[in-house]
Amino acid sequence: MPNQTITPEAAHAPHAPHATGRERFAAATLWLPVIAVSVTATLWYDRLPAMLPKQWNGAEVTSTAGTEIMIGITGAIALLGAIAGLIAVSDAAADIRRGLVLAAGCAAGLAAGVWLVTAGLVIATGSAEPDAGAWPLLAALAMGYGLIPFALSPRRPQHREPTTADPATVPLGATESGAWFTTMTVPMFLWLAGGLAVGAVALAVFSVLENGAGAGGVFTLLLTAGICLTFARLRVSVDRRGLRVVSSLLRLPIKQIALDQVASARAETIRPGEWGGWGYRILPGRSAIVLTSGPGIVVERQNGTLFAVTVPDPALPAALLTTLAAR
Amino acid sequence: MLFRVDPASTVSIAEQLAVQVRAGVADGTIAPGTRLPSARELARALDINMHTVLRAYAQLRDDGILEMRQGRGASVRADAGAGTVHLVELADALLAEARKLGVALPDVLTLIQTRG
Repeated sequence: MPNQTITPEAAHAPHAPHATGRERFAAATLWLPVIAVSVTATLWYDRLPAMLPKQWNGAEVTSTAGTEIMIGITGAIALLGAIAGLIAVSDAAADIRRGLVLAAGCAAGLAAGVWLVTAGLVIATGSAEPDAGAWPLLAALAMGYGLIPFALSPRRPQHREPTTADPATVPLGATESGAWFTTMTVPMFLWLAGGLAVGAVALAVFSVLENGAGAGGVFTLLLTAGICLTFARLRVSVDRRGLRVVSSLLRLPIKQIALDQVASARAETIRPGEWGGWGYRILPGRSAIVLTSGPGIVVERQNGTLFAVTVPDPALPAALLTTLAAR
Repeated sequence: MLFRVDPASTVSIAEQLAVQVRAGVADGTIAPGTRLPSARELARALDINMHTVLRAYAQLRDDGILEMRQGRGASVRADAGAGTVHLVELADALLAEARKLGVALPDVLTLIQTRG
């Protein structure tokens, strides 16, 4: 292939989804917050009071939490971060590995920071309600721990499947225009949206009776119901305006790729595992709207990023999109 | 569902659209119950006049292929299929033949009714 140039960086960058030694080491550093919390909790447990400060207002402690609860919550978050690291080194997570260890490191770092600063302050001052000063800032800075596994993980090149053949086209006359439409309905999302809306109304009534308790829950339920409703019926179209995905029920445009952004389009089998699951997925260098496991259109943009949407019989729309984009 | 129109063709755009829907229903690529895009949407997609699309849809409704409901747009009738399309084609052929022979429409209708 004459157009392909291999930069020294690309030559050394990992191509296979298998985790490299450096990536395994990066994921292993996520166990440090777990070790820090568990070792200090064991060493300090006898010297700590039953309640630890949780919030400060200036020098005054405004709320407290049980020591065991504090150990449990911060330890559990740190442990979840470490487990996320184990998931990150699996082959399926290759494309999101770097982002995952960053997020896991931030969460675990923050949890460990909160524990160390709070318990450390109580131990150091000998007071159950010490003056915190600027120390909580240190706990927040501990979130930066995520940068360590992130920096240790090498950047992975965009994984792209080699296209074996030229994408198919539709023979359109010079003066002819073409448009393709399909509508996909997911009845489960409709039922889910209905159920959530009923739940939201019930919670809203409860909230009014109980002087505003659970008002946040009503909002969350309604938001989730709205998201379900958005994806319950989608209209996908390919025409002179490019590829468009519109929520049919809410008349809300979800995605549009103009023709001048389209490099090529092809029909492929979409496996949700490879695109990060169901729904609207965003991964480094690619995004997708996945409603089912099966056939779909994969669009390669001019900037090299990919977008996929599952549709029945994608060969025709993919060919039409390629044809219209080439005009 | 693919729609393609050629403004340079001698066949009217409305007729081009109607022919494609009829062909799709006849060969089964457009299943009964399929919802067609709204006239506004299809007109925008193909850069044609909305009334052209409405004319095509109205023709297909009169042929018994589409049903149009207020606010729900046009969809292929549940009983529409190859049979309906064939019947429409036979009616067109009958009318064309009658015109050629100079037989007026009421006479054609009487001819059919006496056989019913």
